[in-house]
Amino acid sequence: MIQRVPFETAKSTELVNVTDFVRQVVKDSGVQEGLCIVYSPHTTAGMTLNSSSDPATAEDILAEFDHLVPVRATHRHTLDTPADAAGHVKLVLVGNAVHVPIQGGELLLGKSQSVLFFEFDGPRDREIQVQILRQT
Amino acid sequence: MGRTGEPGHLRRQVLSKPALLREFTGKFDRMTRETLDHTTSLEVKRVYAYGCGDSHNAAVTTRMAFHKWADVPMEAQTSLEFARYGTPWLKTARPKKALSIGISVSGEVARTVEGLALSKEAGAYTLAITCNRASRAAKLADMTLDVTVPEMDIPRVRTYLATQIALYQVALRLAEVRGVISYKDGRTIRDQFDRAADIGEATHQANGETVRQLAQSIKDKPGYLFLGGGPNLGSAMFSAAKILEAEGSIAQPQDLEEWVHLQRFLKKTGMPTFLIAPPGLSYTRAVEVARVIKQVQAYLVAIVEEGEQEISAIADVTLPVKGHLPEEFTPLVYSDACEMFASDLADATGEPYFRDFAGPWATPDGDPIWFNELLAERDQLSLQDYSGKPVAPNA
Repeated sequence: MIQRVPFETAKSTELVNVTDFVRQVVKDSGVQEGLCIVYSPHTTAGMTLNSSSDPATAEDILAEFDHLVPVRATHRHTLDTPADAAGHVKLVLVGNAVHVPIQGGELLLGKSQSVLFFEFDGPRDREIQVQILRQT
Repeated sequence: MGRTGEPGHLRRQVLSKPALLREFTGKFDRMTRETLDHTTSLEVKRVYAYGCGDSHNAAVTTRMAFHKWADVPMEAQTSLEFARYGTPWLKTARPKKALSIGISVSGEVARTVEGLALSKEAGAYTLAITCNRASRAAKLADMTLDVTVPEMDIPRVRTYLATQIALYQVALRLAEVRGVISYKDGRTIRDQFDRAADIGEATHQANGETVRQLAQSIKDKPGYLFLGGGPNLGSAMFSAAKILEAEGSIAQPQDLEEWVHLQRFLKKTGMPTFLIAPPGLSYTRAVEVARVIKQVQAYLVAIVEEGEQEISAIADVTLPVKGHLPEEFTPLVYSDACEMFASDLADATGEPYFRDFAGPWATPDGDPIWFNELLAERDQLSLQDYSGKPVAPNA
């Protein structure tokens, strides 16, 4: 079963905490033991697990990505915008999916961990796809 | 009919505009993104768009989009103004920061080619918008947008729309690359082209017969005035142009405000005055001007959004546009009724388009719009700038 969760991002680059969406999908599935896959079906937006307790952490992460892959005019992909070209490269560094174990019907996240969606070229209409695998 | 379209061809072109919008907007979008690179888009500080006739009108109609979407100043000029009175100062004023857009369907209109040549020498990025890739304009410019569309007989409407679409796409490209608008904003803007097509279709349906009757009833008037503000000053210009081309009567475009200063004092009453007044920044002034139009006993034809009340209430004839568009998009549909009127007026009077290029209107030695002694001499003589100093040849 794959559950699609649509949402809108609000900024050109941001980290969106989607943990509650994912928890709800796990809960609705009724699966007690298994694996949750959270997938971003985009080419300029990805997934990661990290802290969301201090918003400054997200700012640091995004700032470092901008240092690693600055938005510049010299990208070869010029059909879209410079931000879009940089977004494609940033996504390669992040990846499109995260996997979280399910135990006792709950996501087995660490105390400070959240499921975060990386927006690299927003704002846009986006979605995540959540797949629950039941342990047999 | 030789160079011109068959009678009724102009009206058929107008009716085909929604389909053209749907078919070519996406293509021109892609072409513009492939043509206008990031570096150029980011470096541009000012845009000059110029042409003659319809091409100049198209530039005037799209100026607002450059300002509103891309936050970049755009000057819509006639080619003579730009080439002779603009380019001499480009070099020192804004080196390498100007985008010079020369618009010519044939690519051979002399003053436009001249504008491209002189602005290129002055260091501007040059972009030709043309339907002729083999033309002087296309060969001369750094970049070319080929806006060829089927059915380009004159008087032309479809090439005007194609040019408008291309200019909107340039504005959109600058806006997106410069980060002034987001991807989502861009999608919203792109959706408006389809919406304009739907509104155009409904508007043609609603006004077709009314316009035909209007042409019949006022065909003997001494002239026709077309008023608009902002982007729709361009619509007024284009409307008047189609009357001149299709039927040859006196037709004059005027800025809303300028009409109050000038044509208000025409001694002949009953002058047909087409007031193009969509919702937007000059609408409140259009309402005031409409009252003055009635006061001086002119014949008021209102082109307003469906449901508009203040101007419609006093107009002799109202030609409603069947839906709402953001003001910068309104030129895509607000001149349609006037273009149909031009076609119907020619039908009503039996006047051939462009006087059939016969008699005094014949051009046995070639069309004078292509003459350019200055360009013809360029290969032999150094161009002299306004101060008499030699201008460096092209790199």
